Amino acid sequence: MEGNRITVTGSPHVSAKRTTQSVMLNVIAALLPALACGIWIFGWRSALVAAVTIAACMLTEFLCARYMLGRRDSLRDCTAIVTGLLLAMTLPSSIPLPMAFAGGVFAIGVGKMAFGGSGQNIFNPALVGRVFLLISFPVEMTTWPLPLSPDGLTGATLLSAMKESGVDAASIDVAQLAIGNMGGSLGEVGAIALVAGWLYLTARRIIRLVIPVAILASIALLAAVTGNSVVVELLSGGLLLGAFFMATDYVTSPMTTKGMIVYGILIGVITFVIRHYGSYPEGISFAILIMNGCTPLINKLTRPRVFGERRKR
Amino acid sequence: MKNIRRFGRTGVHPPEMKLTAGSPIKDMPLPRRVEISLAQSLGRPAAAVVKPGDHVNRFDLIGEAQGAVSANVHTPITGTVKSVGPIDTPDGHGATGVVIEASDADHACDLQSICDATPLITPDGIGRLSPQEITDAIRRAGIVGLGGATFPTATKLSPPPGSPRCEFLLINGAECEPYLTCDDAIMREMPGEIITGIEIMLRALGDDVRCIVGIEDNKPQAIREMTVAARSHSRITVMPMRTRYPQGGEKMLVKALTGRSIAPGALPISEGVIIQNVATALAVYHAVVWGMPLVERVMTVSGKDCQAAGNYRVPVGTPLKDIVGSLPDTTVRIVNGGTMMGRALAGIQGSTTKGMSGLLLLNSQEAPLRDTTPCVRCGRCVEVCPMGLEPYLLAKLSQLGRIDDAAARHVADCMECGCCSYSCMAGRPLVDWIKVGKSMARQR
Repeated sequence: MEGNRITVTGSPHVSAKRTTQSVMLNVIAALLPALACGIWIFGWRSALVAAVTIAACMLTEFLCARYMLGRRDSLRDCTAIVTGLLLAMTLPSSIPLPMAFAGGVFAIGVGKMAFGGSGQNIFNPALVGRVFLLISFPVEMTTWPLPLSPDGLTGATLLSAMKESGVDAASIDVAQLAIGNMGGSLGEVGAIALVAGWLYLTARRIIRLVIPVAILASIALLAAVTGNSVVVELLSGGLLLGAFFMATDYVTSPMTTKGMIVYGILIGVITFVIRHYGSYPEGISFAILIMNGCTPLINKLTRPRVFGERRKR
Repeated sequence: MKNIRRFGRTGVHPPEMKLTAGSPIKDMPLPRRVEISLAQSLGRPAAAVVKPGDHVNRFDLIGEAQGAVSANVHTPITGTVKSVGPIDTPDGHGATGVVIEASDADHACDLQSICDATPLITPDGIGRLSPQEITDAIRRAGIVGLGGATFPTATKLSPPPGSPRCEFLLINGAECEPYLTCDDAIMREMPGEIITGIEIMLRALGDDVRCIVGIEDNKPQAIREMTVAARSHSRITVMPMRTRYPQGGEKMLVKALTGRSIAPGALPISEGVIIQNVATALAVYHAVVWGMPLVERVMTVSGKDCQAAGNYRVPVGTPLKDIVGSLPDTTVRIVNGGTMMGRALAGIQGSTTKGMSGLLLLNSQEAPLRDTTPCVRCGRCVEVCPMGLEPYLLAKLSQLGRIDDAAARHVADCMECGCCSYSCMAGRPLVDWIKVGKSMARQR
């Protein structure tokens, strides 16, 4: 019977090649230069931390999906790997491994699976994991190994040094910032590597320019207006990592271009306010999480205009 | 080209797959047996005017239109009516139809009449026809929109009293669907006939109506041929358009060619526009100049493994088996129409209709089955939707049965072009759910 192999489905009968899995693999590839940079600056322990968080995320995802949602194939879309990798990149390379593991479990378990798994979460799981660790283990989470230091010395990040000890922004060597020779989490240093990954994702049309540009432009504008160094503001802390790879998370960011602009600008403003007027030296994680919470509202307020619909007068 | 037209920045550009782009139109031999469905238009099926045992001549009326959105049906062959009743249709639903078989003598008679055919009027006779004579001839000939919508052409050409004045006749030569090349083929081979058909329609619409022929720029030869053929007609302009699906959609075409936006739920005439397909213009030419009813059309048969791939002039009612023979072993999907909006068929059954522009036999590389994974809210569907809808949301609301919410978000405006499903990285059948929501909203 010829009919046996003929498939009947609704239209369309062709589709673009891209799948969630291929997108996530591309994101992982885009993060690798920054991870390599972290390994170069802080040593192999960075890779160990990443391995632990990824393992924690995958294990948690598998167990929750299997026993809570009854799905066996939830690891296939590789989103758990991305969450684990992103979480690691926000951590100091010196973090005790059990803490890193706990962060991964919390990120996926509470940040994602509690909401119903892939596509259902309101907040970026990696940031949920990071903030959980920051609040639970404030000392370990703000002890930053010095860059290129084999003897395990620790010090302050640039932003906290500027905030707490009054380091002058003008004395900072921008070139050293660009290659990542500064204290910080293992993935946020290395601006050039982050930019390379971002350009790759943008060129492959996996993410759009809107959100990162809105964030960076609003911060740069605020820095310029308030008389701060624009370059230092942009290159320090986790801003690039957050703007390129976390604020652009599909699930937790708005659906329309208009919404993305609003979301990006507000992330920039909140980050700047926390950095300069809040008690934390760094604000991008909180800013993204706050705006994640606003995303459903933004989606509601920034509907696309239906074709041919006239503006109400 | 800086003057090139486009409808906007939405939509998608699937691989064009115009495998039969260079193929000349081949004539399908007149079949000895036809099964003609009486449901050949958007409206009610025609009522049979023949009964089993009747002898009919080529071009004879066999079904009479039932109302303004219904169309007459004629026979492409001389022969004896074998039955009037249920017949198989490609989609498997079945329909009421007329089965006609030709004897050797009937067949020979048809072949002779094709050779002997002479035109009724000369080109300069068009100006002497009244608009009423033209629409009557088109209605008698049973012409329907050949782009696939099968709306009766005569009804479209005579807007009801009180409609806005028609300023533009737009001729749709976009052919934005992958694989299909039948419109391309007729524009390359019969540009003069199409332009004459357009002239006839312009005559029916009035002297102040201008015509724009829109052709996507992946058909350069068609653009050239049509431009040359239209050169002596000051009211007809050929405009290239940047290739982008779904440019052949009614509202997209109007936007691309005139810059006007048709409001949700409105007809093109609300913006002073009437749209006809190039193949419809050709049918109008045949009806008015040669007195030939719509009993054949050009269609594309295609697919990578399809031996019979090509552009064919096919009598309406030709069994699909006569066209493709046996299926290639590798075929996993059969599509009536193009790959974006065409309907999948369960097998090669039934016969051709006026609205059938393509028959595609696709292998597993061309039409792969996709896994469906959870929506990750990437927003691609919103970005590509030419109607400015939120497909992910409409699909979810339809799935949950929240039809009032879906209706409030314009589910009825979806034209089912499939851009959202096409670009969904999670492989979700968004259009399928939206279709469900649409039909439930309509029943309210």
